[in-house]
Amino acid sequence: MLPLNDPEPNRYSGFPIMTLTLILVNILVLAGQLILEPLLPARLYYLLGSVPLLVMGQEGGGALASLTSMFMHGGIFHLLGNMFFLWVFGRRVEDACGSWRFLFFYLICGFMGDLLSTLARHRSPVPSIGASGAIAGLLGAYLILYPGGRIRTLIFVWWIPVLPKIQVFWFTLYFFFIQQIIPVILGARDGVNYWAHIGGFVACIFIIFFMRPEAFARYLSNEPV
Amino acid sequence: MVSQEVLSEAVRAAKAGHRAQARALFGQIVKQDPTCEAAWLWLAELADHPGERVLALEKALALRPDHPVLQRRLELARQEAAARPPVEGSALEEDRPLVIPGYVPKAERAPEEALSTEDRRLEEVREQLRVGRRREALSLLLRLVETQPGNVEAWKLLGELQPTLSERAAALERALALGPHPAALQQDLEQQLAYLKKLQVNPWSAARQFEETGDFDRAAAAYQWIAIHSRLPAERVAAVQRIDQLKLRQASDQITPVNPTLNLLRLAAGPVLLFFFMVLIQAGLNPLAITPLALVSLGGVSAGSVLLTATGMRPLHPAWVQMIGEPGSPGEKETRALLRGLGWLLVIVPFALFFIEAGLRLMKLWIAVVNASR
Repeated sequence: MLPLNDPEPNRYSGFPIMTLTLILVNILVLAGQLILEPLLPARLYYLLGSVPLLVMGQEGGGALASLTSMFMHGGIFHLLGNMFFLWVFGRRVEDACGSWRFLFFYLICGFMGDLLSTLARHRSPVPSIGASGAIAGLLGAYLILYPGGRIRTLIFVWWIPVLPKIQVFWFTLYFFFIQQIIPVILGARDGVNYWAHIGGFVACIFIIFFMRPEAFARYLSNEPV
Repeated sequence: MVSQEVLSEAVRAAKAGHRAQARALFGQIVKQDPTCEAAWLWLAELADHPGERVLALEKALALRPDHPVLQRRLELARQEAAARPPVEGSALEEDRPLVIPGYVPKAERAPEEALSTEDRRLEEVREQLRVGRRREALSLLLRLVETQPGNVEAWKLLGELQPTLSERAAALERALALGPHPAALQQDLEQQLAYLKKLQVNPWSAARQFEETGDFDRAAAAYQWIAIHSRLPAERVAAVQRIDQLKLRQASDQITPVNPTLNLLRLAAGPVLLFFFMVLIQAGLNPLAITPLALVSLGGVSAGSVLLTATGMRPLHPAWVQMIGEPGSPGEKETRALLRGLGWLLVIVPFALFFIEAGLRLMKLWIAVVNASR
């Protein structure tokens, strides 16, 4: 299940400059990783990823490592999946906030995801990387701002690809509750940082601090943002 | 004999497009001196309906019966009047007097009776405003000032309702010119006029303010002013585009404006929250381990964020206006730029110090890891 596009147009801005910049930075960072990885095999992730044991011991980069970990990915497919989510849900959230406020919100979601992940795995020496926490926050913000939004999604039914438009509520229900909450309850150990996703998603409530004045007025007036 | 000053003022008003004001002044002139041919010609020019134009031209022609151009114009006006049916509220309705401002051709009504009629009309205007029908209220008011150009309250209301800034300012100037007024009214009129004139100096700023506070009617009026008066074609196009967008929004939405102070605090909280999360992670998620320097930095970010948001939003909050002046007032732009610079400084310096410290910690770990691997 992969979100492909949100067919609705922007209201305030024509070009989602910050969403595209974030996508570009993520791609460039992965390219940098692929170049540096042979030179610094495991150290790269240990130094620039978010390591709960180091964070709790106030060692290493701390928030700086948390920031760099948000832009690192474990491979091309990890990056591709995240960037599709970023494009689909980021564009209209950026539209409702404005570019710089959107960047701040994105970072807050990332930090919140990292914070919860560190709390949940506070003795773990395993580094965590990826934009998933921040992107989970965008998904939550999208649900708050555009509850009636419909997402063009790629689904395989018996290996046949179909492209239905799914209402964001059902998408979130599937993506968040079935794919995140249930594995956490079942104690899954598949290398996915579910706590970062949950933390990022919870941070979506902070969207109220970043919405444009008019978008906020619309939201309070029960008008479509 | 008509005062040359009044005549000049009326002509100026007509040329500036302030039709209501010009009609009222010309009406006064013909009331004082029905032989003023120029005033009748201007009234014919400014008439809203062919019937009014016919009357004004007849008066002018009576003064110069052999004028061929006037004869031709009267003929055309009569044809036009015959071709056009009377409209509601026009001077051709049987139960209404012909609306040539200040001029009543036949049996003049008693002043007391006229006054009560005008008061009733003013009450009607207020009623329209109460039910949110601004356009209807404006239409009634324009008619009212034509028939009673000395009505200060009507001019004052017109100063609030006219669609363009210049027309609003002109209406308030007219109200002031009818003075002296009681001190409170005089002060109120002067303050409103001063504010409008400042908005005329920087209409973009004014329009954006109105938009931010959800006052879309006034925002559209300010953009309209730019579209008419700007010398830059790109600016005119941008203003028209903004008006179109506002119209589209107004057509589909009923938005309740949000208190600017709430918006200010809400938006200023964002960067502070981000910095707080970073400080908390840096302190190993232990609030007690947050250093005094980090707390001072948090204060700096808070102050800087408030300044940045306030200078970006340009709120109409009285405290803000008192601090840096009203938009468009002398020195306001410079003060705002200065405060914005200070805001950036207060936000950037703590973030920069924070990243330097985090970078040093990362370097320390890097060296330790490299040493351990040797």
